[in-house]
Amino acid sequence: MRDPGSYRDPSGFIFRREGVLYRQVNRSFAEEWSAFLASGLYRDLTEHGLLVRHEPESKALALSGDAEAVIRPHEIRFISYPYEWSFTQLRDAALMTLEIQERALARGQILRDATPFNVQFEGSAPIWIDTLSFAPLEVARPWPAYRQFCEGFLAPLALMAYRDPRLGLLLADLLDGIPLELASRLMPGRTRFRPGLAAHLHLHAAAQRQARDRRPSSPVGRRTPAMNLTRHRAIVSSLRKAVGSLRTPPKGVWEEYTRVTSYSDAAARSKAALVDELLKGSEGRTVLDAGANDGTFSQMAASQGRDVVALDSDRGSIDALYRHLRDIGQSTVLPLVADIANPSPALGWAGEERRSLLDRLQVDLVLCLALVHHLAIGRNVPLPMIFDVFARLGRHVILEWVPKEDPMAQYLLAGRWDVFPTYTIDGLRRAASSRFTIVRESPIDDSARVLLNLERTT
Amino acid sequence: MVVLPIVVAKSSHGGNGELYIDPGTGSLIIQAIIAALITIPVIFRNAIRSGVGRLRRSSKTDHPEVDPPA
Repeated sequence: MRDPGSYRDPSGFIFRREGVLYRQVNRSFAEEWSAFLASGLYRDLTEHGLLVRHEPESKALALSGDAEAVIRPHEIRFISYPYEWSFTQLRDAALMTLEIQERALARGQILRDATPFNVQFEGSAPIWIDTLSFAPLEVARPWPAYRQFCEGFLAPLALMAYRDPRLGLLLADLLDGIPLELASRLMPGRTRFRPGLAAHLHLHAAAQRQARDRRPSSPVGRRTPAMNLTRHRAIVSSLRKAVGSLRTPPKGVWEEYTRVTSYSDAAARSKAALVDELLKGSEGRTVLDAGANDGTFSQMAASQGRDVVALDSDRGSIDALYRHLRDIGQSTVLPLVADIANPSPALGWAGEERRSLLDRLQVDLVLCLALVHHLAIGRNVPLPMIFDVFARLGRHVILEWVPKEDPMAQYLLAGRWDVFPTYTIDGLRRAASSRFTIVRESPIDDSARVLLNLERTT
Repeated sequence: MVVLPIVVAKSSHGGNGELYIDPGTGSLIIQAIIAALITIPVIFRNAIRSGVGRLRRSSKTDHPEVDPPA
């Protein structure tokens, strides 16, 4: 079956046959494809971990008659989208895209599209997934993906850096990138004096406006000035400087705060030992750490050889976790910014182009530590509905129960009516029992909190 | 006034599978202008380097018979 998100580029598409992921290269792209393979760029990019590897496959596997080739790409375990990445993740994806364009230029090729949707994260390392993104360089022509790069990477990054990190969410509504006239209008006036942003964002927006206002029949509209290799490289280098100069906003700018914890040392030690033990006793390779906070337990699961998605709605926490993982070279934890109470929906054409977060997150084990009180009290989600979602996510759940008298639950209840009479451990057991069997309950020392080990029954 | 060293060429994108996205006319033009502007220092530097290089070479090889000044 053809992937519903793989329809824009006529050069080929992604499909599945008997569960295996393939990419078909169409005959119309035959020349570009053989030039790409002959250029040595594939080897260069894959050796540097910049492009997903693939194996050639029999053309008999093709989905339609106009196939030139079929390849089997290495499959990325968890698919994520730019609106679920933190600032630094999007920035690293942007810098990697520029590196790919630079390496392509060195081999007489060009990156012909530059959408952040062509980037995925393998754990905490970005990688380009579209093997058909390359074509022979026609040196006099400008880079055709320049606009896409500026709208998909530069504009959201600049808005996140200069206005508010939450503006990364614009990419969910604006799947083709943020229109530059919008970005230019939203940016502070002082950014007109920063050379990179002045050129690639503000001037670029003005040029787009001017071109649009011209009549389509105008001959000027169909002419473009010539480029050469030095100029292509200069554009890449200038964009790299513009992107590289953008910084994570200072801590005070984050809208949320890293959740403070209220454990005594003994309770923290006891919780860590219990989670470690429960993890070791559990099966399966994939783990979702829902409400990952600083990622301590994501990393614990990763150290046991699991592939982990660390999910948190706190952008500051996820950005800090990503930077930490990148710096220590830990590549089996994928940090994502997402709100489990409002997960990214299905988006794009027919609502099928970009899958919903819940559809993408099917794991063996869900870690749900100090999260349920945020959902049940902070967001008013009834306990049975919480377990309905957990049952969709994974077969096993390790859950930390935070009772109402706990300071963190009290913090959430402060200043509001307590409309949660069923928020008790018995209420939790009852709610869980419709979907799960409670395998074990383990009290955390020096605390009223309890760890529950659950297994799905339905 | 700086005269931009821009050669105007007719765009003939499309047809070979290279371009399926809309590159945007304004984006193509401004890119070429920015590229031309930011490479001016590179051109100058290269011109100066090659000029200096030529002078050095010529002082070494073009007049080997000239006696060194006393």
